[in-house]
Amino acid sequence: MHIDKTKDITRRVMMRRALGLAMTGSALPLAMNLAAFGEAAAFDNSDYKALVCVFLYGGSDHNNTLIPYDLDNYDRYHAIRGGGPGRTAGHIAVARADLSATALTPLVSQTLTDDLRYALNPQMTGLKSLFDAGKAAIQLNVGPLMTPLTLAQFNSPNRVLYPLPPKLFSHNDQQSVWQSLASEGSTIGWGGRIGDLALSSNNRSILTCISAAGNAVFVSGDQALQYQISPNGAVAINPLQTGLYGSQAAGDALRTLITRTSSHVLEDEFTKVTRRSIEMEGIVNAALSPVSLNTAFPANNSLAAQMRIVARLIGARNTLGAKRQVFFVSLGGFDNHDLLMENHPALMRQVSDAMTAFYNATVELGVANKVTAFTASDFGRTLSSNGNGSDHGWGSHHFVVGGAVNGGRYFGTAPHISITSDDQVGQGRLLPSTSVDQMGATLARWFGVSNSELPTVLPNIGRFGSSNLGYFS
Amino acid sequence: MKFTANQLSSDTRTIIRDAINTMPSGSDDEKRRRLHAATLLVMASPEYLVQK
Repeated sequence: MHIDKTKDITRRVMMRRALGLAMTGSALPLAMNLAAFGEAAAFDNSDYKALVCVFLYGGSDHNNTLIPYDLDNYDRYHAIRGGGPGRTAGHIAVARADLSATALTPLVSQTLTDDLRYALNPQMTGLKSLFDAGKAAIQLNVGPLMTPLTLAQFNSPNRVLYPLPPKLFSHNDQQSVWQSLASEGSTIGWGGRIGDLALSSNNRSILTCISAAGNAVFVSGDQALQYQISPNGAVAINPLQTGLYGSQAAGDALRTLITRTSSHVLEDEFTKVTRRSIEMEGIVNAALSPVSLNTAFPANNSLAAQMRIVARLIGARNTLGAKRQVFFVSLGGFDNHDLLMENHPALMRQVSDAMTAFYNATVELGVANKVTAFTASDFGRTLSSNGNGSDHGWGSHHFVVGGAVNGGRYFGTAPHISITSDDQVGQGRLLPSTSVDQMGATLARWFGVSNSELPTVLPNIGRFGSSNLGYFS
Repeated sequence: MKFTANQLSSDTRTIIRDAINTMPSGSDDEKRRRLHAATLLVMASPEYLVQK
């Protein structure tokens, strides 16, 4: 019998919030409560650490990210994906000849399932270099799970004994499950829960959980608010600087209206939030302005633009008094049911180039060992071709990149290149052999979350064999 | 004031009126800008935004 402990956490949060409101006697904003509630001082504050979630919206095709390279497995891949004669490209199979430059050789001797040898997508030359340099690792077949699951258990009608993540194969829900372990509508992500534990490590707690990609539940905590930043810096209320419809007086009136105190509780609350936001904009942009990076970030790459501002914020960490930060960046366009071969390679290049530039920037800033980036996505995709692309899957392969990473190697279990094996649930949709909880726990431990705190971040972690997959030495 | 059900305080009305009165009103474009600015200021004010 499995009870979904995610709900327990939500309940505890609600009770604590209710108590907090009762204590303060009025509906003070959550941010105002931050100071009052600064409980967990769990982390060693002497150093800096940052986690960066790189979310690939739409469900990236992992089969053309990490491609079988040894002849036996390549031929299986090639046959299932409809390749052309003589190991050439066809349908959604990449030609074998195109893989030689990005074929991976682990730095340590590793024997994978069926003696698999992988190559990265030919566009991913940057990540190939980081893998070779031992700075990038690959987590094989990871995805949402409520509990370890075999194919027989997946096929069993007994969902009490063998619960599944909610709404598998659905974009919105699996994005939410990856980020928060619950389906769409969930309000607290595991990055945010890590942030909750880190709040007291930072002088400005609002700068603990930061999204450069708009609203994302991953970086929303119970107490940790999500701070949003644009690629150009903190988001400004432009008319306050430039005037309104050509009138500075109207701009000034706007400032007065949206910032002055009010005797009405809700109005007053609203203007408090606005004042705080305007104040933070000034602080953040002032801290960012002296930070310039020599590392070149690729142009016309929205992920790179987001990762650049994250790198600059990390460069401003001392000015901003930040010791522990969780960042979220994203790239969309991965739902390649159609035109997979036309669109996916360019996305792979953007991911690889952006993550490589970001790693180089952390080296330039002297914090390569303090920053870990990892990829995530709605789900993997089918191994089989629909003629022009691939369809929604489950487990996927993901990257973990950073100076502290035991790179140049694989973690987890490689799936068979098959649409009939027992590590997939049909058409090559991978049944995850590693859970998001385990991946998250390994990252959280490195960040400073203690063993006893892990279940508050990843409530189901106790069901899985290991909470440390070994990404870090 | 259709938008606000007469809930804008006299303070707020004064702030908006004073600001708008500084804007030129000669041409049609200038009049239109006055209208736009006034509408935006009303709709950005907490007294409008918080439903009571």
